[in-house]
Amino acid sequence: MLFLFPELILCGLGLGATVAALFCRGRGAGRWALYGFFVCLAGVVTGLCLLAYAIDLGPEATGQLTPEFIARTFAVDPLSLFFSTLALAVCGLAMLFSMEFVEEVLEEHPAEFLALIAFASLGIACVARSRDLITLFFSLELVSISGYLLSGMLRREPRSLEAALKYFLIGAVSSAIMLFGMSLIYGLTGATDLRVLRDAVGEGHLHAVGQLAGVRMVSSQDPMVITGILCIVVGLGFKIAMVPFHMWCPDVYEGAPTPATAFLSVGPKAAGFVAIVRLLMLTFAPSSGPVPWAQPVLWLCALTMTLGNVVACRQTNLKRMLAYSSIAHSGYILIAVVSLGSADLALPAIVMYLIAYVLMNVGAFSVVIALSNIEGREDIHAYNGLSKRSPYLAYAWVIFAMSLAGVPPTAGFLGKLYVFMAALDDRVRLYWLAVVGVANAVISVWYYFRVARHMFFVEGVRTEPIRVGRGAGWAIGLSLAGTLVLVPLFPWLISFATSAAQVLGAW
Amino acid sequence: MAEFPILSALVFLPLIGAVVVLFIPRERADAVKSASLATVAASLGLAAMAWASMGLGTAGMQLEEKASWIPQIGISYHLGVDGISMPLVFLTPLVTLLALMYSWIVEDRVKEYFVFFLILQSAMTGVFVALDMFLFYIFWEVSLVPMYFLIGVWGHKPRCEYAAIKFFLYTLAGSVLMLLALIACWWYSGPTLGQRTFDLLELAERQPTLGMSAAGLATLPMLCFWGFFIGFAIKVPCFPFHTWLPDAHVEAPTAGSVVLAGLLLKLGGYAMIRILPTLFPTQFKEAAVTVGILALISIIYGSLVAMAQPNLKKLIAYSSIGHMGFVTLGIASGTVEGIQGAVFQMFSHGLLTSALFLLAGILYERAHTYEIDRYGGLGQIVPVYCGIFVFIAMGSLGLPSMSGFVAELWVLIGTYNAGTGVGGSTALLGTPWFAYLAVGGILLAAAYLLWTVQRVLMGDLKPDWAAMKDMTRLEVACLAPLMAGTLWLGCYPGPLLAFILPSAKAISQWVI
Repeated sequence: MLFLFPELILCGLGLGATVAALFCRGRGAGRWALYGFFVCLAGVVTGLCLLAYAIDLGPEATGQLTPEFIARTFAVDPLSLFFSTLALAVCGLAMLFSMEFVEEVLEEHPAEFLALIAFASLGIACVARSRDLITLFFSLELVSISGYLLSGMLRREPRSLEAALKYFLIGAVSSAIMLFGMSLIYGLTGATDLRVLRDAVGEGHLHAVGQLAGVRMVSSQDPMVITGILCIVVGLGFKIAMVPFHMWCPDVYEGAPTPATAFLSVGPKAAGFVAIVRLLMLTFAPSSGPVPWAQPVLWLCALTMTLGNVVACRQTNLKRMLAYSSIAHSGYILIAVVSLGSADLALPAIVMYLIAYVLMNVGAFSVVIALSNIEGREDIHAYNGLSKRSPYLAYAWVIFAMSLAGVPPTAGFLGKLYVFMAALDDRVRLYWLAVVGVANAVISVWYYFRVARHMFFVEGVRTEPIRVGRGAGWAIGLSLAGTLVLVPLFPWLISFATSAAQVLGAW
Repeated sequence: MAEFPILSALVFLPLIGAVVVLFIPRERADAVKSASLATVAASLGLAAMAWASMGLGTAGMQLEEKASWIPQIGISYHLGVDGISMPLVFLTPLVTLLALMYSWIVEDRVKEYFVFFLILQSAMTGVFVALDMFLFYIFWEVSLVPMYFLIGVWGHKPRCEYAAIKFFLYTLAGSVLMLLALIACWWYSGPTLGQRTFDLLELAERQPTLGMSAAGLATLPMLCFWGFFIGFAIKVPCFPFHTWLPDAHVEAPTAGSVVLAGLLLKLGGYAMIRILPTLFPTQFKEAAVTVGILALISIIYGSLVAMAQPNLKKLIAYSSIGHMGFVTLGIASGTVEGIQGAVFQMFSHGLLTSALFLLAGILYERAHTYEIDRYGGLGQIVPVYCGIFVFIAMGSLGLPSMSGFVAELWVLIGTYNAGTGVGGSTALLGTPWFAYLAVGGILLAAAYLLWTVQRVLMGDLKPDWAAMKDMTRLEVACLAPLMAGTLWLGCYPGPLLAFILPSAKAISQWVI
């Protein structure tokens, strides 16, 4: 049970906030957000200690410390522990940056917003844990349903409602497609346990559990199996906004309340990638013979990066721009996914990129939140002359922009470095994909620094200084520190990412 | 003093200075300026000490510092200098100091301005001393961001915004190609993650290109070579990757242009010498003629375009392309003299072009225009300015007894040797015509510089400028060290050439 600590915290936090929602408003909700942040912070610290302990023990010994009834559907390996700690961190940062929002903007049931964030984070953590198709689906739904509600929290704003409805409809369709794929796989093999499925699909010997359940072996080249897997790819593609399943993303991001958008851009995306790691990279990737999903995902990866970045250049609303940027980042991470032949780099690359992505995207969005709390808008002209009104916000944006674009010495650079290292692996040799990737990094500089241009080079109509809110200010500070400190801490990060990712074959 | 990490101090002192400056209140502009200048002056002193403590006649790295940093993927914190990097390491604080002295007149956003220059100095020094490619790459990229802001915020509105982002994107495009080539080299430098290395000296020993060929990737070494080359050529800039430079220079503030031309361009030339012959000896030999042709085009085309410019700053910018073409040509020759000349040319061009940009800035400060045709007869009213301008122009056009002459002479000797094979070198370029045509470039330089002197300083005085003031003491103080350096190196180039020689020999041995 010890290793389920992050989930327990998130669960308690969600329930606590639900109770608090009954009787608090305004300032009270803000205070709750702060408490929530401290709980998460404590949880992250404990989670990291547990992680170090789990890495020390090794995956198998860690698994043995867990009761059998949990271990059947919940993985207790370092990888899952890492992702649940990440979910806690995302939750904590989200509590911080939504503080002013729940205090001042959200009039009805402000603490419910916090509860939903906690539940969505719980969902992310559970996705990371899932070792069974059904658990995985349920957890993903927990993330998604909380997400629909979060985006519709401003009940009197038509745009927020439109965003929620769009997100819900498309989310429901994508879930249905994924479920269809899962049922195909189940129908063919008779198993939902991912470890069993790994052995049942493709070559390999049957795991002991599988023989008991009477599992059927299928070839990974069977058209029905491929159909099933591709349906799952499509479903997950919606979650991470992979082109061509990205259409919902800009609209939802633009319409949803800004703090909700900030959370949605990191939380569900992380969940989607964890699911991809579990399902595609660890389960449906037979050790011999071609990987059935690799080719389509390869092309979609190149498309995702390019479309995300090129369209982002045309955006004048910062939330929309960051939406397309987040699509592009999905593309970069997918490079590592399709480089799965690079056994010692692909998973660490994803782990590292996700850490960097959470930090820099939360940071960039917190800048947007801080300004939108004051100006009430997010179009690019609201940023004119910001460097004189609030140097803190402007320079923070520059650092986050550097990181998002992958310019050293920032966390984003490390993520990109690792991703490209995986793609250039001798066993992978995706040279053209790496070239597409770096070309995209150059394009992305244009639009990230276009915002910097408005902040620094253009004189603003309004010149009075900005007082950055407490919560957003702290969220920016924390992400800033994280973005910059990861480079000197790189050796530690690598060991950490590498050992957290050492689950192949062991789980 | 042997234990003192003098190179780390050189790299990080400006950064520490920048942090200190950040804590000085915005209103106390003079304190900001003095603190920044003191930092740069201190690093100049450190650089002089480092140079003085170096042994003459050794080819290897000196003052080395090495510490394990990221052993999992073979990255270390490795610094060192040799005859090729030390002159540039010294040039960096020198030019920055003069640029900042001149910047005493800046009044807009003083603090940020000086902080950006200090960060820039840190990054450039880092590039010159880094011997680990990962470290090198970090410094290389970090140098982009401050320059972007210097051009964009303090440049000449409104085109400076366009120039700033063009500079950023163009150079970034080059460096990401370099990154990919670098990762590819890293991949083939060892069998497992921990055994691979980013260390430049190690990479040179292990020759990852052989690993690539062994893995059946016949074209990859050449692609990597061009990846590196394009990254560097954009920075130099070498034709056809030069189009960002005129924009960036014309729009940048004076001190920005000085640092850009005086130092940032040298990053490219330095990296070419340091990395291309050692990591890609075979590819270098194959590509030498192509690189030589590009260099030659840079020289002649740059000079011709310079001649056609009506804008003084643009003229100087294009003249930089021409002069840096000599650097590339010297490197392409692969001969000892060529490489020696290239380093010498970088140092000399750092002095001369800084002076030219300062002179242009001084003129702009008084007349607010760069249009050459609007000037005329200035010699009658600003004699000091006139004298210095003529002096620097003579240096730049390669007058004997000035540093430019020595540098270009050495490059030409190297190129000639590489064309004919005399002097015991391999005929890498195959024909002496490279040298013959490059001499034409010198003639062209003389033509456009003399013509500029004539149009700006001679003739009838335009009535607009009748009240123009001559140079202030501060401005003379900024230019005097540059003039002295030019003259000294021109009359007595022996010590510097001898200092560069062993390292140039070591580099040249890879390709000859």
